[in-house]
Amino acid sequence: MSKLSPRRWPKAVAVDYVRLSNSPSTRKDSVLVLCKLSFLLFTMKYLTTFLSLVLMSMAFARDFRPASHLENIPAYNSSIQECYVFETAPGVAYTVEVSNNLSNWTPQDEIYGLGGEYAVAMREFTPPPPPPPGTPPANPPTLATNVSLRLQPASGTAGGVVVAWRSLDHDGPMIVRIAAEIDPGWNQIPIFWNRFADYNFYFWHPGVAVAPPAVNSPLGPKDSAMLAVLEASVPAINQQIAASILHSRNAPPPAPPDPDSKRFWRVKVDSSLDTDQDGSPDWAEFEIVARGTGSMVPGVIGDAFNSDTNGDGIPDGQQLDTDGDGTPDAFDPDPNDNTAFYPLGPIPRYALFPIQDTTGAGASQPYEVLQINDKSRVLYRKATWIAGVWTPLAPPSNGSSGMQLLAGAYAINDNDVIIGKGRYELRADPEYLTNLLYFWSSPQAVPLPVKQNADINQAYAGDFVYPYLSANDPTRKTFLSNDGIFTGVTRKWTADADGNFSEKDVHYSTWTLPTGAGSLSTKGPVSQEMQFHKSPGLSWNFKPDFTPNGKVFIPAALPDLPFQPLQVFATPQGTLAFPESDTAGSPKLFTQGAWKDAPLYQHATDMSDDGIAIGRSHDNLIAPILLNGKWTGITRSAPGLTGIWTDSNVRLSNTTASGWILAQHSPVATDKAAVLLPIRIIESPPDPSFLEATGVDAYSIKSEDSGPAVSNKIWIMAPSGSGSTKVQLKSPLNDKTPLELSADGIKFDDGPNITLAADNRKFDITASSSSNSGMEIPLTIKLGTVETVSRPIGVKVMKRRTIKVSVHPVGSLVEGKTTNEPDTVPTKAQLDEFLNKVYTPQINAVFDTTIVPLRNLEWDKATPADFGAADPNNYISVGNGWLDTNGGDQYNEDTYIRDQLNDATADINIYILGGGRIRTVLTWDNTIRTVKSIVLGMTRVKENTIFIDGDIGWYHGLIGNDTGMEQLRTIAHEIGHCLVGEGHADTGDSAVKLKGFNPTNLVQERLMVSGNLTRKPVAGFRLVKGEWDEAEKWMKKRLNGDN
Amino acid sequence: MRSVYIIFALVFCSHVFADMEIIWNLDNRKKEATHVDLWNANLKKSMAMQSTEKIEFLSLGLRGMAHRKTMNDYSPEVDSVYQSIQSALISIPGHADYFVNEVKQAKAHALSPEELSGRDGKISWSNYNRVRSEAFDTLEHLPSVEAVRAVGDFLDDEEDPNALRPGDEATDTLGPGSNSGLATMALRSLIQDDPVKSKNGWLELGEKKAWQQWYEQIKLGNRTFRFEGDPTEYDLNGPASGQKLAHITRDRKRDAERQVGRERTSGSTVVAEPAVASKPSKSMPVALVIAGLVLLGSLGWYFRKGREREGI
Repeated sequence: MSKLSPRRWPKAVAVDYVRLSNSPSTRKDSVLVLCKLSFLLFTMKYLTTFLSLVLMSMAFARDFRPASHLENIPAYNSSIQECYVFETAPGVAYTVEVSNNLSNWTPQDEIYGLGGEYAVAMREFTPPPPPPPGTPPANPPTLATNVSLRLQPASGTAGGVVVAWRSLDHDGPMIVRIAAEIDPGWNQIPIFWNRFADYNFYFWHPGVAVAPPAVNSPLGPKDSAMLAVLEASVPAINQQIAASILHSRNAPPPAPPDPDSKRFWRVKVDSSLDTDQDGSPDWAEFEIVARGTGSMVPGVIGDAFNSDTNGDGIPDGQQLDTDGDGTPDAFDPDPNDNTAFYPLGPIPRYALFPIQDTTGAGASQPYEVLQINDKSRVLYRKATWIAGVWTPLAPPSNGSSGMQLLAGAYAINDNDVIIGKGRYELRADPEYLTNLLYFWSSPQAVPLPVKQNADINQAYAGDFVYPYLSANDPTRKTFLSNDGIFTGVTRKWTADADGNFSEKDVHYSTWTLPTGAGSLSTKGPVSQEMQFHKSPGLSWNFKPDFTPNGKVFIPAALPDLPFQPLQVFATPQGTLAFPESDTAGSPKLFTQGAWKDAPLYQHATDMSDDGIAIGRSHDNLIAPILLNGKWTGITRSAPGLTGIWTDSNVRLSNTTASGWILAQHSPVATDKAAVLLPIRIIESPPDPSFLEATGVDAYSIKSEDSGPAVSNKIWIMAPSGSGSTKVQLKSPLNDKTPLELSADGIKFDDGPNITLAADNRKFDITASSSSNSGMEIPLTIKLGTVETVSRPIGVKVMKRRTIKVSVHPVGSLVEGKTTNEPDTVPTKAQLDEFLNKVYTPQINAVFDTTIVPLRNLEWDKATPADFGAADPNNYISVGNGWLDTNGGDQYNEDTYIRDQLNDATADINIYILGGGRIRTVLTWDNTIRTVKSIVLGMTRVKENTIFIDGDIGWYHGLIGNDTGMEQLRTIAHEIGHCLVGEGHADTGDSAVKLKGFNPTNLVQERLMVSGNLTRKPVAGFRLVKGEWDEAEKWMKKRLNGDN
Repeated sequence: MRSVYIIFALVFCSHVFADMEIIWNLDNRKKEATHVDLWNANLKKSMAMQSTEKIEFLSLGLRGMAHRKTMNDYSPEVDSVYQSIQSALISIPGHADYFVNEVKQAKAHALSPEELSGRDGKISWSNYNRVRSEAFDTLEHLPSVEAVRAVGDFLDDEEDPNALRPGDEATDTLGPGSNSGLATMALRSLIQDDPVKSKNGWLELGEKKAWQQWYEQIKLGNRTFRFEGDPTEYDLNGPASGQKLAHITRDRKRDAERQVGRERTSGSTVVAEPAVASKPSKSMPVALVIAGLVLLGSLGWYFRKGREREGI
C-alpha cells in the first residue's frame, strides 16, 4: 500500500516520558507517553482537536513500546484519515483507548499483534468522494471485530489448513483444521490483513506444516460465526495473495465525529499475554519459532496457541528458554532478560531478632557492628553475638608491658575466624608499640599476630591502614574469605644496633591465615592494589587511589569494570558485580565474554547463594530484599514489625551464603542491629497427586499485595478436633542457633513447642480442642534467648467439620423424546475420597455425600415467556437440550429442578444432569440476545446448589483427560464456589484475587481458576488463606448446624 | 399388565419413601436436637451481648431454625426456639437497619477504589452477594414494622450486579439477583396479604411490580398490612389506628364502587380488589388436601402415560 502524505512526528509535538511505576523489573510497570499537538495543526469547522497519545507498556528489558508516527491513510470508505500508526509485535496485545478528559478512558480497539502496523483514525483529513448521482446513501459503517489468526498447512495426507487463534468466546486457545487449501504465494507473505464481512482478519503464516489437531476445539457462537466467514473468504484471500497484494496494515474505519473540543488516545501494551497458558508469553513463543532457537527439549517448539507441542504432558513454558539464561520461561523472573536467571521459587519471610546489648560486651562501641557470617554470628568491633549470646573478643596477650590494645575486629568468615587490628609491642617498652593485624581462630580464642615468622623482626606482618575501612559504610568493609585469605598492608621492621626500629618494605600482599593449631600466616605475592577475596579463584581489586575502574579475577583477570566493585559473585550464568553506589553504574554480569548490564540488581549491595539480594532503600522501599525478581521492603518481608525497624533509618548491611541478613538502624549514636532469619515453609502434601492440598499457604505472599487476610505472612492451617498439618521448615539453622516455635493453643508434634536446630526439619501442627475455630495466632519464634519482633508465620485454627452433600442424578423427560439420563455419575466412595483429598488438608472439612437415586424430570421446558422476553433467535424452546438459566429471580430450569428435588438436610445439593448442557441466557431490553455456554458445572451460590453436566463424553476430546476425573474436579471446583465465593482467581472478579499475581503457571495451582485454566495438565487444587477465611465463614453459617 | 402398574407404583413409592428416609433418619433427628440445644444455650449467652453483636449472633440461629421449619416433620421445639430468637431480635431497636447498613457497606466496599485496584478494575460481588443473601434471609423472619420498611425500601433496587452484559465472560456462578427480587421474596414470607399468591421458589412475572405497588400504597398510608399469624393491622408507624382503618376501608369501598361503575360503562369484566385484610389464614389441612389431589392427579397422569406408551 502506498503511503499518502507520510509524516513523522512534527516539531510541534512534545513528547514527555513519565515513569509511573517505581520498579523497572515488574510487568506491571507502565510508561506513559503523553504527546500533545497544537490545535493550530488541526482546525476544524466545529471542532478543535487536541490530540494526545498515551502509550502504556510493560517495561521489560526489551522495550515493547511500539514505534509510531502520524500518517494520512485512506479509510475503507475512501476518505483520507489523519491516523496514528503504530507497529505491533507478534504475540503482544494492544488496547487503544480514547478519552475526552484524560480521566475516563473508553476502549476503542483491541489488537493482537502479529508484526504489522495498526492505524487509528483520529480525524478526517479529506472527505470521501461524493457518490455518483443516483447512488442511494450508504449505510453507516459497521464496527469490525479484530481477529488474529495463525494459518499453517496441515501435515499428513488429509491436507487442509490448521487455523489457530485466541477464542472470541472465552479467550482460550483455539485450534481447528479446515478443509481449505491456501495459495503458495503465502510463503512470501507471512503477514496479511484484510476485512471480510464484520471481521478484520490479521493473518500470520509461519509456513511450516503442523500436525492437525486430533479433535477440533469446540466452537462457541462467536468463534463459529467468525470461522464461517473465514472459510467463505478463503478463495478471495487466495486471490489477493496470489496477486501479491501485501497488506500489512489495516484500512481504518473513519474517525467518528466528536462534539468535544479535545480527544486523547492511548495505547496499552500487554506483553504478558500467554494465550495457551503454558508459562511462556505469546511474544516469546513467536520469537522462538521465528529464530529457531530457545527450545530446551527436542520436539518442543514455540507455539502461542498450543501449550504442549511435544505432547509429553509438560507445559512448553517449562521447556522453552527465550532469553537463553538456562532458566525455563515458566520459572524465569523475566524471560526477556538473561541476567535475571535465578528461578522463581518459594520465597521466605523473615524473623527479625533485635540484638539487645544486655551484657555490656558490645556497649563500649555499640554502633560498631560489622558483619554477620553464615552461622549467624554477628561481629562487633570487640565482641561477637550469636542467638543472644555475647562473646567478648580477647585482647592480644603477647608482650610484657600490658599495654597491648585491641583496636578491634574487622572481618569474620563463615568458619568463625576473625581478623582484627591491635597494637603490638615490638619490645618491652611502651614507646615501641606499633599497629599489627591479629586473628582469632575462634571467637573465644586468644588472638595471634598475623605474621610470617616467629620473630616479627625478621619477617613481614600485616596491617590495615585504610581509613575507608569503616564500620558504618557498607562499601568500606574488608572480607576474610572462608579459606582465610585477605589482602593487607605488609610491613617489616628492622632493629638497628641501638634497638631502634625502622619500617621498610611497605606494600600490599595477600595473607593466608594458618589452619588448625598453626600460628604463622603465609604471605602471598606483592600486589599494587588491595584485593578482596571471596572464595578460591574469585577476587577483585580495590584501588586506594579511587580510580573508577575495577578489576575482577576468576582467577584470570576479566576486562575492566567501569566501577569499583562493591561485591562480586560467582553465579551459574557468570560473574556478577555490584557497584559501590546506585550512581556508579548498572550492575554487570560477565557472560559470553563481556560485561553486560544486569538491571535486575540495580540497588543491590549483597546477595546470597540462591540469588536473594539485599539492597539500598529506594522508591519508598525501606531495606529492600530482592525476592523472585521483585524488590520487597522490610515491612513486607518481615511482617508485623513496629517501631524503629520500620523507619527510613533501617538498612541491610550484609547477607550470607545461606541467607542470614544483618540489619542496622542508624543514626550512629543510637545504632542498633538485628539479625534476619529467612524462613520458608515447605508443603508436605498428604497425597502426592494433590500437591497443593497441604494446609500451608506460602503462596499468597508472592502477590504484590496479599491483602489483610494474609498480612504478608506465611500461613499454616492448624486442625482442631482431628487431623494434623505436616510442614517442613526450611531455614539455615545449626546447633548454635536453636529456633523455638510456640503459640497459644497450638501443638507441635504433640508438644507445646518445638526447637529446631537444623535445616529442613519436618513436624506436625495441630490445634488443641479448646482453640476456637477461625482463631488466628502468630507463631512466637525465639532464636536462642531472643524473641522475634516480626511475625512471619501465622496459624489459623479450623475445627473438623462434616459437610453433607446430596447428589441427585437427574434425567431429562421430554415428550416425544427418549429419556436422557446422565452418563457419568460418581459413586459415593469416589466423591468422598476426592473431595476429602482436596479439602480436608486445607480447611479440615470432611465430606459425607449421599448419591440419591436417579430421578427423571420434565425440566427442559422453559419458554421465552419464562424469561419475560422476546426470543428472535429461537434460543429457548422446550426440549432444546440446554439447561437454560439467567440467574436472577424469575423462573429458570435450574430453579425448577431445585424446587423439585432439594434436600434441605444437606449443606450442598448437586444435580448431575442428563440431556442438558449448561448455559446462561443473556437478556436485555426485554429480548433474549445471546447465550453463553458454561462448560461442565454451574453454582447458584445463595442456594448452595450446583448443576453438573452428566454427559461429558463430548468433553473428552477437548481435554484428553479422564472424563470421570474431570467431573470430580469440576464438582470440587463448584463446591469451592459455595465455600469461598464467586469469581475466579485469574479473571479479576474473585473474592480473593491476590493483586498482581499473574503468572499463569502459578495461578493455575489454585482450585478456583476459571475453566480455561482448569483444563491445563498442571491445574491444581490450592486454596489460599483468603479462601480458608471465606470457607470458615461459610461453614460457620451453615443452616443445619455443625458450625 | 395391571401387575406391571403395581410394580411401577411400588417403585415410585419406594423412591418417595427413600427420599423421606434421607431426610428423617436417626442421624438427622439427632442433629436437629443438637441444633435446638445449641440455640437454646446461645439465646442465654446472647443476653450479655451488646445489640449489634446480638443481632449478628442471633440472626444465624433464626435462619437455622427457619431452615429447619422448611423440613417436613420437624420437632415442635424448633418452633419454640425460632419464636424465642425472633422475639429477641425484634425487641432490639435498629434490628432491621443493621442489615440495611450491612448491605450498603458491602456494596460500597465492593466498589471502593482499593478493592478495584487489586482486581484489575473488575468488581468482585462475592462478599456483597453473601451479605445481602443473609440480610434478606434474616429479614424475612422478622415480623416488625422496621423490617417491612427496610425490605420495602429495597423494592425499587432493580440492579442485578450479576447480570451478564454483552461482551462479558460466561461465568459458572449465579448470584442472588436484584435486591428488588430478594425484597419481594422476603415480603412474601413476612406479609399475610400477598398481592400475588405464588409460593414457588422463583418470582412470577409481574410479582415484583405488584409488591412495589403494594408498598407504595403502604407508604402513602392507603393500606395496612398484617404479619403471618398476627391479626393486628400495621402501617409503617406501628399498629394502625382504628380511625385510619376506617378511613382506608371507606376509601377502598369508594374506589371499588367507582371501579365497578367504570367497568359497567366499559363493559369489561369485574375484578375484585383484594380486601385490606381479606385472606384467611393458611392451614395445613388445606395444603394437605391440595397435595393429595396433586398426588392423585400425578398418579393418574402417570398411569395414563404408561397406557399411552404401551398403546393401550
